[in-house]
Amino acid sequence: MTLDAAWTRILLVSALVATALVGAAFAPHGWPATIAVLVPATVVLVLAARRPTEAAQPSPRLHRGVLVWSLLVTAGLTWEAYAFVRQPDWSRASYADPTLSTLLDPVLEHGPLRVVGWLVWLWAGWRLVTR
Amino acid sequence: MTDRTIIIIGFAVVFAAVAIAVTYSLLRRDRLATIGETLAHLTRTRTARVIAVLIWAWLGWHFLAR
Repeated sequence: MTLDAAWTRILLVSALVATALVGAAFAPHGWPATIAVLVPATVVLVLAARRPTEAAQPSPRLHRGVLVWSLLVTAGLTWEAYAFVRQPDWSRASYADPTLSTLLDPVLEHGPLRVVGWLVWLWAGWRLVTR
Repeated sequence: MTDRTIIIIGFAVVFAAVAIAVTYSLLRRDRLATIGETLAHLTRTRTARVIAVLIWAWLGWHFLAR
């Protein structure tokens, strides 16, 4: 890794951590938190739109990957939908029939794990446009 | 067993399956593409990438801001 690349990486990680700390400082269910999500989302969206289409390089392992990961995502979404429709009131979280967000809310509402949640989300977005 | 327990067990089973698939894809890269490689393959076009970013943005809003 060159010195420039190392500095770029340090700056990027610092920016991600700073954004996560600022985002996590805003309590959920408010406009500041929504704006804190919208700002990095807009940056990543612009980067995604500017990047050109790449040529496909299919292989058997990639086909298996598409199959396996699609099945797992479908299983997760199906279970989430099952929990969601079982809620007595679809507009309110239910203790008896919790969706994934209902289960994660206490963890992601405040504290260090909220910062971790922000970091994971920002890192995933960055990976979407840099892979 | 309550409905809550059943739902939590269901999520745990899905996450366990994901953890097994992640481990397998890292140990046997010749057999199964990792989730990152698969996502990169599926989002190689601009349209697919933008859709993926919109889903990612919605997840961020849903879990962190809503």
